Amino acid sequence: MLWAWERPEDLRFLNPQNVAVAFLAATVELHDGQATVHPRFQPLRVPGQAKLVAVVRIETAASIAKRDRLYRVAIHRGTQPAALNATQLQQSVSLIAHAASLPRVVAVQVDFDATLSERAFYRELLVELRRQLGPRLPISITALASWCVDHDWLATLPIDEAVPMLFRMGAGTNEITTRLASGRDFREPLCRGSLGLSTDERWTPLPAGRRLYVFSPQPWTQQAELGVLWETRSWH
Amino acid sequence: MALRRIRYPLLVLCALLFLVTPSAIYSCGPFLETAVFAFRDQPDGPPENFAGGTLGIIRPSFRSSYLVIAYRYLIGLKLTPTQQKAAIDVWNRDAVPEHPSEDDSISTWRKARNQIPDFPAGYPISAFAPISPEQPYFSYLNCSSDAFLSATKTLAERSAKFGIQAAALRDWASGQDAVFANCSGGAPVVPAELAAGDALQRADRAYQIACANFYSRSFDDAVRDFDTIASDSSSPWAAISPYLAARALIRKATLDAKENQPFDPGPMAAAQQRLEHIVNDPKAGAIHAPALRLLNYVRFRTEPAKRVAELEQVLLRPDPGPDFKQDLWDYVLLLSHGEEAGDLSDWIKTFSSLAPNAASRDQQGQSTTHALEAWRTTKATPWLIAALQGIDPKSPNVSRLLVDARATKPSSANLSIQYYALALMAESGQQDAARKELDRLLSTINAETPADPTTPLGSYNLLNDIRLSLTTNIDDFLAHAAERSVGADEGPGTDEQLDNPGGVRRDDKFLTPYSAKVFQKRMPISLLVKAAQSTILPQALRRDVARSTWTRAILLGDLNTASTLQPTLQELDLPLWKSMEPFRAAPSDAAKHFAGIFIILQNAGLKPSAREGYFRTETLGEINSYRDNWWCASMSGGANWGDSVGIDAGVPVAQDRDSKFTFPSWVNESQKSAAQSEWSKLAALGTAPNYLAQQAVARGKKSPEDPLVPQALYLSVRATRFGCADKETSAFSKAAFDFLHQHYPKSEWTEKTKYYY
Repeated sequence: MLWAWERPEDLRFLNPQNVAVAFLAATVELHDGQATVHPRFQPLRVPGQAKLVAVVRIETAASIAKRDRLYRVAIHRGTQPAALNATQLQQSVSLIAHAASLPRVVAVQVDFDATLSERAFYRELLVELRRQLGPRLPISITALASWCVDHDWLATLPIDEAVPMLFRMGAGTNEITTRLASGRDFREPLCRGSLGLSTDERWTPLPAGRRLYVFSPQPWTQQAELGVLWETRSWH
Repeated sequence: MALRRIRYPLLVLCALLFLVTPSAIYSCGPFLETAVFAFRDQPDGPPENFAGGTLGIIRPSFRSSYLVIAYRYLIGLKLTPTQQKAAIDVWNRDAVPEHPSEDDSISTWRKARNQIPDFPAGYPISAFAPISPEQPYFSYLNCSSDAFLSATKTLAERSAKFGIQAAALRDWASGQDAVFANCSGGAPVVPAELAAGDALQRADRAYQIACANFYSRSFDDAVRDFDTIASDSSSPWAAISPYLAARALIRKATLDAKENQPFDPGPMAAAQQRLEHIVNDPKAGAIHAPALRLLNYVRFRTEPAKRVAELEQVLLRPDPGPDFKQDLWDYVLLLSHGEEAGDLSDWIKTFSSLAPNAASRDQQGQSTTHALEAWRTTKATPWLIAALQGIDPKSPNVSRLLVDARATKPSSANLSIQYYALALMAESGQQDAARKELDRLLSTINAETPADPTTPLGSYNLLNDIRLSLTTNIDDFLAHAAERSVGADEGPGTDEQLDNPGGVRRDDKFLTPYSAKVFQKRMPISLLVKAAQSTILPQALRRDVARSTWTRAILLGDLNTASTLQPTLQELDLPLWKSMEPFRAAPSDAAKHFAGIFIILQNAGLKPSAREGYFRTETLGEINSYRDNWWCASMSGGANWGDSVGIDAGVPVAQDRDSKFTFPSWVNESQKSAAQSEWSKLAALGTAPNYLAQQAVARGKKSPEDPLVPQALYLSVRATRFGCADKETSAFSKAAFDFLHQHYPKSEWTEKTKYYY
């Protein structure tokens, strides 16, 4: 599974029998009590038979402040982020449900680095999403690797998959890679079906037989995709 | 459609076309902050200062948008307060004016139309439409906020004219619903022509049909319709229609472009022709200004070389005019696309290439030659700064250039010229003169106060950095070793943070990367003791130097030095000193050394190198959640975050790969030899958890009766969990765990040690 993020992506070289595409369909920013939607503004070209997973990224005050200087300045000047509310929840769910309705989409994935205080909101959102989508459409979420190791809250979510993000882990890198290399798996069963990797970070040997989601900081090329297939040839 | 309705979508479109590729594409936490003493990308201090001409030291790594403003001031041009504000907006990447969100505007329109009694519900509205049926995942903003707000305003006007229950109003609102039904893409919905009604009703409907064709991407029809309306002088929409026809052509050019083509040149050229006609029409009236902006948008794409040259001329006028923000924005973008114009773009390109690692050595040499030539030819201050920055300290041109630097008149450039000249002097055999001048300069800059309006803190630090490289004895070094940080860095892909993290006070000082490295690798323990005993460093840093030197002494087995430091630790860190009683009371060297190891195990904040940048946020004994505990194999003084290694990596060793990092001049030969010897011993110890676990097990084997051993084993297993681990750590963790459980099965510490890591 190749992650196709917010940049022009031409993936028509893919063999849709082997590789699917999880594309960023939209981003919803939850701040100041409102939800602001940013649909995908970049081309995505895929083979005719490609299976797609629509990814919706959710950002809140904490993550927006990390990349948005103006917002950070506003917070610095005393504008405190408002608590997440029911309207934002409904708008987010509607957006994700819309993404799920796009052609050839076989699953949805929610990408939300929820802080501890945002987890109750996240859970409610997923419950409502499941209610609206019904039981048949798979719901995936991205998961900080620490969620898969140290926390029990994932088990309470109505999801089919939590993808442990094994990149940009910072200080936790060694702990996670050591754990996996020594044969110990993630505590949370929902995390045991897939792995999230990035092409710009070293891959240590990882458990075989899992669905791989691979991120590339650059637009995908056939060469990069072949590199991923070669790198993971012994993992299947 | 009112003019306001036109202006905003245009700006949004401009912005979207350039802003859609995010700089920080994917960011997962945690975000760990390191101290910055002078920003790389931007000046520090309030942006209003730089915008107002208080430039501080201009660095070649500053973003182009800063360098444009710097250049203006360097050649003697100023900015009005409004233009200064515009520059700040560009620095903040705030290119799109404040406007209501699409969702809010749609909601406003819905509320207004729902006021019409018994009016049927309208179509669902979304402002965004897919680019094409083949590209359903790729959207664009089809109907902007102003479209809905303008319709709301027209509804109010027609309601006042016809009455809210009038059939004419209902007809109009139905037509407008049909227009907005096209916003989200899908099958075109075009309102029917009116069979009856007065002239205004028919004009409104003709306009709605044109707009519906526009939003449903029937651009040729839209152009035809707008042209027809433009020729109908009785229509209230006649004046705006020529402009909208041009817009329809631009949309056609961008949306109907072939793959790998930024736009379709045919309709874009047609749009340009129409816009030029409007701009040159003295009767254009209210549409002249928006048409000019739209023309600039088109020419940005069709004639980038001409446009960048025009923009440079405008930006270098004494009064760059009311469109300064957009012009600055466009100019910087064109430069980023590789366009070049006159002296300004030449200087930015040349100066930027002289930033460390910005270009190859050969390219930087060429840039320097060019800067020198430009300085000789133009005598323009920006080129003097570039030449000073780039010139090889061994060049025969150095003397002449330094004479030129001294001869410059007072201006916004002063601090930059002084800085680059002093750096050059320091590297070209004029250390004494540079030191003297720096001492004079630094004493005149009141950087100890929170806000010196003339010298940003980062500039003060840059000057101090040169002075730090010229210290003459240890006291001189200690006097310049610490600086206040201007902000924080969270690593690649993030903006430099303008503020320090919470808990850092404005006056807190920290060791710079250079001074920390001197402490770490270029001072023997005898000098480190002197640094701890001296009162020159701020108290918090003295305490850190005392702690780290004591730790280093224990690791090196230098128990005399560890004992020598006791009074200093008593003065600076009473709780730690009190906890060292077992060390002081130990009856033998072996017991003393193990007592030292035990104290280190108890205090995760102890490491053998003085701390670079921010201190740990935890107390000495608390564990940091991100493994910033004890030391890594690199023995770095910085936080441990960057030193975590994957399990497939080799065991890193603390090799001194930086042979070019010379000893300060005041370190004598015997001290150098001692420093190198001590460093080699430290380098052999490896990462803290492995070393500490090894020491605990060794003590247990040698002196199993030592009452500290079980707790030390427990603490060492904990250290393998929270310290800087490598691929061998697990084995050390297991060894300590096994030894504890096998030899002390009834100990409370064994009870607490349930796992190894």
